[in-house]
Amino acid sequence: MKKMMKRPLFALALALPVVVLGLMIGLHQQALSTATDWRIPISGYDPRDPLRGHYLRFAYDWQVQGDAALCTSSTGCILCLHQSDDNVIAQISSPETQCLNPVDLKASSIRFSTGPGSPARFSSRIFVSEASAPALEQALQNKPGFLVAHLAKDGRLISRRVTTD
Amino acid sequence: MALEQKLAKWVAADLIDAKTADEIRAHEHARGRPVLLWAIAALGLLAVALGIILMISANWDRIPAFVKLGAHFAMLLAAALTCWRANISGRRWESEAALFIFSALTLGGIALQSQVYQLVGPSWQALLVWMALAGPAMLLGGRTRLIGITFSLGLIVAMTAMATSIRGDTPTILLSQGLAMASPVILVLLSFLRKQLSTAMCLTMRETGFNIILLGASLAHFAWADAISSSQALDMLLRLTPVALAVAGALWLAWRSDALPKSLLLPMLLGPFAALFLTVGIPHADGSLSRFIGVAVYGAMWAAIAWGAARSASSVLFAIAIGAIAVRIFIIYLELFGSLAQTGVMLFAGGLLLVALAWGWRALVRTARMGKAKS
Repeated sequence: MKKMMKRPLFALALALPVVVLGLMIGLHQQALSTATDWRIPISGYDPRDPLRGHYLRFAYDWQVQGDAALCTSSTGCILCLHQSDDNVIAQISSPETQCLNPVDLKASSIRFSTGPGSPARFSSRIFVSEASAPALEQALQNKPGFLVAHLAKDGRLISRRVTTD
Repeated sequence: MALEQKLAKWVAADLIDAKTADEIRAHEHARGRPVLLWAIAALGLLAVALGIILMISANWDRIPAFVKLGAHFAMLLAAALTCWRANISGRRWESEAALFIFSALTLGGIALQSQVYQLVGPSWQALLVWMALAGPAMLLGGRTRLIGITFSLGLIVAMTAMATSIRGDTPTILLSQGLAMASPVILVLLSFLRKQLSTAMCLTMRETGFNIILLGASLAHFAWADAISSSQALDMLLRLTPVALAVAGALWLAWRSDALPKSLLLPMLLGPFAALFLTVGIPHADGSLSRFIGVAVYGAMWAAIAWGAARSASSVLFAIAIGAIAVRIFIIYLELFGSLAQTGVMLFAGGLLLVALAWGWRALVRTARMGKAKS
């Protein structure tokens, strides 16, 4: 009797992670299906960070507009992206601002840094596997690099790959 | 080798004859397992698994996201089905191994989706999601210490990570931290659900829970050497609320079951909670008096446990309790309470307590032996 009662429960317990993880994939894919693709120039890379594995650290080489002090305030800031010819312009705005292509810095793992006399800098990192790293390193030394990313509706700028094409 | 020596001793002492010794020898050899062979095979399998992981890692960004997610999902489904079928067929070790792999793959799935979809957040959130998803399967399907340890440590690590990461003094945060403090008691509470869980799971969760409860309460008493303000004490009272509820629940369940000797219930569950409450739930200044009270509270907690252990003939627990008191006495010697005289008083009292406990234990053992001899 105990075994008979436990089995349906155990089956449900085994199904729980499968169903939930599957649903999560579905939700994320749905969010990505409405995401826009962006090709953003990058610069200032460090091909290897031995302490944290194979990560390419880079700075977004977009044109920054607006007041950088907003990003260090208690409310924080978002970036409103728009394309102008071949350039990507990042307008620093307050979190309440409604814009077409908002980027949530925290959700996108984008680090903000600034200093006296130095311009605002937005940087991040992307995983580069051992097999891809040598060719990418060589290519970045000869040509400018671009980050191909998806911008989801929730403001996550999801890095996909680094390219020189 | 050890068996041969024992058999030779027993034959020499006329406890068994040579024929019985041969039968024992044959029986043990028949049950023998090729442990070395299994160890080498296990090392080989581990090397294979690590090799596969490293090869995949070296080409990680070349593998499309849908392949990674699809392969993981297939493995998760396969592990779940294997576990289910082995569980129904009564193949215990196969079921346990599949359940362990299933739990690991669940955590791996959370990490994989974080990487593929670039989800950010503190690691404790991922761990709590993992426990919420894989915990029920581990509790209901686990049979051996392997899953018991995985569940117990997973819960403790996830809750500890949460408690140490969240900052603030809002009621929600304080109660969340209290829930983390209650997690070892929750493990003990769950261990008393013997009708629903297997014995090995219960034992593992209970041992882990009690180890952390006793260690935590012992370490916390060093707060007597620190000042606790009224506002800090108030915050701690809120944190201790989930702990109190968990202790009450565990006591109620334990009292109804025969899982633990009744003489140990109050010392092991209520004693550490009371010691913790006195240490951090009441404002006190730092001074000699506070430190004296701290030593007395610590000594009383472990003395109660020693007494309960003596009454229930738990020699290992009794030895641990005596050892804990001895360690604290040694620390008194290093602490030097205010003056040499005060230190001397504490050492004298602590030493008397140890002697009394040892005498009490000896008296109980002697009484038990006499009782057995009469019957």
